[in-house]
Amino acid sequence: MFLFAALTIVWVVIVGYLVVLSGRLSALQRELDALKRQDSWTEDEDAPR
Amino acid sequence: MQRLDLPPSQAHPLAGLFSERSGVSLALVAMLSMGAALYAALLYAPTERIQGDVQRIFYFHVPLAWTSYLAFFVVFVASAAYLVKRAPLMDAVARSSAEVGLLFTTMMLITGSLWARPIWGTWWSWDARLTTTLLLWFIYVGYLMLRSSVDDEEKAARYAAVIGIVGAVDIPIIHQSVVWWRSLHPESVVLASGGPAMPGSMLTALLVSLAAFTILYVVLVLMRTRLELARVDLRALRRRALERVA
Repeated sequence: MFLFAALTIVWVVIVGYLVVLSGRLSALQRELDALKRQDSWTEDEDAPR
Repeated sequence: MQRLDLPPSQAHPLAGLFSERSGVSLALVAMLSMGAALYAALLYAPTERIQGDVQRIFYFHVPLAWTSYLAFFVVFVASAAYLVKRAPLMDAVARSSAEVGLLFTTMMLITGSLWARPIWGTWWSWDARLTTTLLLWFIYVGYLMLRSSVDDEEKAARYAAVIGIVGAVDIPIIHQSVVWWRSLHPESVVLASGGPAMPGSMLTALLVSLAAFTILYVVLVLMRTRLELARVDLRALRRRALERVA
């Protein structure tokens, strides 16, 4: 029982951390891409026509 | 207005290490090696005669302890490098390694406690090894709390770097605690004088598990550092957008 509890805790924590990390990373990446796009549009608007 | 040719996170020769491609392939290697560790611990290693199956916790507890030491050693090196060079990448690595190290230390304390209950008859003892390890846990909880409570990012990075360097002093104390003080905790069986004090199959299982946890640590730190670097870029872009509006 103690071995099973230890294994479960280790695997749940590792997989949970990986899931949280991937989620945060993709959310941040989306926000970053949106801001970069916005940034380049503004640059285009600023550019002489 | 000048366009940023290079995001702040990329302004370091080592920044390429934290790319998406390297992360995916390392994650695959980590998954495979963790599978191998599970096989080695549960099926390959023989059952210990006196302790029984509960002794198999050792194949997770010891690698977690070793990788925690590694994590905080990396915090120490990256913090010192940050104080010297003020490179955001070094700060990102230190912060990421501290977070992963704290996670591993937490699991190490829990698995140790789960082993101690059936073997020592208690979940916890204020023994030198356990107490100094708990102190290490508190030091890095403080490190991460400081990082999130100071608004000025540069100031937070500087203060945290000092804690990261001072905190690492606890690692050799933990390692030597079973030698310096009377302790319930078993002494090192792998680095024992006169060679490893365990059968070859147990040592092999331990080394496989140790390699797996080390790879897992590297993968988690790479992912966490990518996250940190993305935040650095995001802050820079937001600042630029605000400057433009002003």
